[in-house]
Amino acid sequence: MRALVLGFLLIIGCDASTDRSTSWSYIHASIVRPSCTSSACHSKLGSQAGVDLSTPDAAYLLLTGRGCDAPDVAGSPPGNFVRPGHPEASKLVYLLRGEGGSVMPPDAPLPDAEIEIIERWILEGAACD
Amino acid sequence: MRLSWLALVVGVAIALAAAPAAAYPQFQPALGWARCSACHFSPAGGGLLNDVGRDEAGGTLSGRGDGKFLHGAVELPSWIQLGGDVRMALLGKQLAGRDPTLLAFPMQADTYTRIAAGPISLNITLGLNGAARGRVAGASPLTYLASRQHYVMYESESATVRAGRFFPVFGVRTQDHTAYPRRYLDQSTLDEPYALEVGVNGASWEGYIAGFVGNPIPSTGSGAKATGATAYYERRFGNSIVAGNARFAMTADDRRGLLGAIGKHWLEKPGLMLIGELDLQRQSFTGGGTTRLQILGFAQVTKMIMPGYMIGATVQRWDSDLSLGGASRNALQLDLQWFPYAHVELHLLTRLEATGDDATHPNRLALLQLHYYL
Repeated sequence: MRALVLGFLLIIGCDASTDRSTSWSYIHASIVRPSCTSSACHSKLGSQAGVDLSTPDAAYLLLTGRGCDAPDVAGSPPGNFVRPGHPEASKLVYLLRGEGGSVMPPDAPLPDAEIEIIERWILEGAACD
Repeated sequence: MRLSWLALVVGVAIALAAAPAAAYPQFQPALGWARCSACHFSPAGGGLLNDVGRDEAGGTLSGRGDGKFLHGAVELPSWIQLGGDVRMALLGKQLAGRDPTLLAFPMQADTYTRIAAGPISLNITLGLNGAARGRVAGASPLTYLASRQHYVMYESESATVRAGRFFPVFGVRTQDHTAYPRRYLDQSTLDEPYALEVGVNGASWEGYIAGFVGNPIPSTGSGAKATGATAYYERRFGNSIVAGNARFAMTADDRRGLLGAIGKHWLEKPGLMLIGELDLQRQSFTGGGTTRLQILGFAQVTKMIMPGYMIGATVQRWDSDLSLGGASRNALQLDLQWFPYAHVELHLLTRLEATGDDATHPNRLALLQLHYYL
């Protein structure tokens, strides 16, 4: 398996997380949806801790405290989990890295490469794009 | 006495909660059966056992007891079949660098009903949702109920047609919903889509195509809510089975196309069952962003060391973005399964799982599962 994977890497090259898009639609479809929205967790059905991340709009509203269609007003109150521009002060990052308490996802934490993409999204303003 | 004990089990089944049921694909070639539907009513395997499956479960696998419904105490008329699955779990896990945790929870409580009239049957699974995690305060009681599968099926000697909610025939179809082919390919708990599937089969082959749409009822499922199609073709050569997979799935946000291969081989002399799956998936995004190539690998060896005792080892890999370094998950798993009596299974699953490229600090998991099928 390792040889096969290395063969693929030789063919397609190897990127860094900085080569990946930081658009919210990309992050939701590539990281949040496959890792966080299983039935017992943050699906509409499970809604653990009242958190439904099943759709990009619902997840964005919950994480940032503002809707996708809401104007991006400077100084607008941050959501509970994301403080735009400040990954180091965002609860979401603490949860993903398991710093100071529980870790998310609790069964299979995200690889660093995926957490870094989310941190860059926050650093660049956490836009809903 | 026996009936009161069974009534207690049924009561527990109704009171508790659920995870998905599926097949034990190790048994298929090892027991000499051509296809999953030799032992299950569903062509994909899993769920309700037919008479052959009940005989095998009671006789060949456990070696003791009667595998029939209610242990043979009641003979049902041929037009109706009933059954169920109950699983209780004790889970211990330790994430890298963190304290271990221990959790006991009801994992599955499903009842199965099949009503047949000639070649047409109505198949319904009704149960309770799993309860590995707590409920939201004030949640509607309806959210505790789950019907993973409900479909109408036509079947003849050489063809099946199914319409309703079910997993189309695809992949290795292991009973473990946390196995990577299920967890990462939209086949986890309550991910069943609504589908129309057509299957045809010959003496040494079977093929299926299906179209599906995401479950439109939010309170009864999860997953990607994708719309798409699957194709599966399997051919048998003596003790070997070779199959090909294809899947296309799309949501408002992405498109995924998958090609894969499955192999099973029964090594008769040492009594080893080998199963492997390898899938390559391409995911593109409607909103822009780098198209990703993904790979899933699953390899398992299983041995029935004596009637009623089965051991297995599995390695799995899921790389969600092949060209992005450090985006993989890798797992090494050991299983011990004991079938002490017909209808009863004790399963100990242990797993080391590494996230990213760091294999030196794996997460550890041990799951002890008591399973009773009705």
